[in-house]
Amino acid sequence: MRKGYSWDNVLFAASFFLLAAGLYLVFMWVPTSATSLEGIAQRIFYFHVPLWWVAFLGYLVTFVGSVTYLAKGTDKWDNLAFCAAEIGSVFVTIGLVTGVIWAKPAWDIWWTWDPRLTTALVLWFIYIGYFLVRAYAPPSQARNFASVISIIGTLDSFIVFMAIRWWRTQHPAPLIGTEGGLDPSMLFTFLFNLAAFTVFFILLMRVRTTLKATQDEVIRLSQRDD
Amino acid sequence: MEKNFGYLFAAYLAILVIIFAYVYRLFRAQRKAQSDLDALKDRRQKKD
Repeated sequence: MRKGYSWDNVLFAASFFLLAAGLYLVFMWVPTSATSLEGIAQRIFYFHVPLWWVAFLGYLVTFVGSVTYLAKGTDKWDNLAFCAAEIGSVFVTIGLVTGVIWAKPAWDIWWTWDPRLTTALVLWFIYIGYFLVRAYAPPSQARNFASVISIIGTLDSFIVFMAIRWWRTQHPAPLIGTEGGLDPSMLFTFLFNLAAFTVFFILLMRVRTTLKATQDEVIRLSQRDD
Repeated sequence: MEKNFGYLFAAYLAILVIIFAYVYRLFRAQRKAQSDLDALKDRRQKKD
């Protein structure tokens, strides 16, 4: 067995058990916040925030890969950026969906154009643009254009992150690291899920980069054959 | 059943469905790419 495969197996097993244990904590162990108006739907928090954490992690890797690609021009950095952008976008999509589902019981509306939600939606569209540019721009320029778009996306990610600190709006203010924040069992469940999703992100990155390398190898060999 | 349990369940289901669909797509694409790669290598070997 190749060493890479054994690491993938370890990551797969770790992700599976951590995510399953996280589910147990969310559904069976942690108490519902006594101060929340939405009742048990408050527990969406334990998925929603880690999902956004993974999305930002993905976009951070995309930013690093894109900037390094623009500086050095080596394909491996662009490939890394592309794979991380794809995973980041999947998680932003889920983050938006869970946010909409949580908004209804919490605020009695599905959506509102508050700064956090609006900038998050803009972020999603920026990365749709990233993938469209990669797919349809002239091949000689697509990677450079996409890298620049990902830098714009990073600026927007920062605005998304800061929106609830800069403007007081519908979206709740940050709870972690503030006075009177989360109770210890809630904090433990939250951090546990954060760790579980982070391990899952690493697994997805390995799977996606392996796929990209295989696809590139197929293209390289096909071109040599032609 | 507790108040608003349906929303919690819907959120969890959305996560599960989207992640499962993405992972399934990745594994299918990997399988196809690997079989294309094996076929190409095979063809090259026969050529040589």
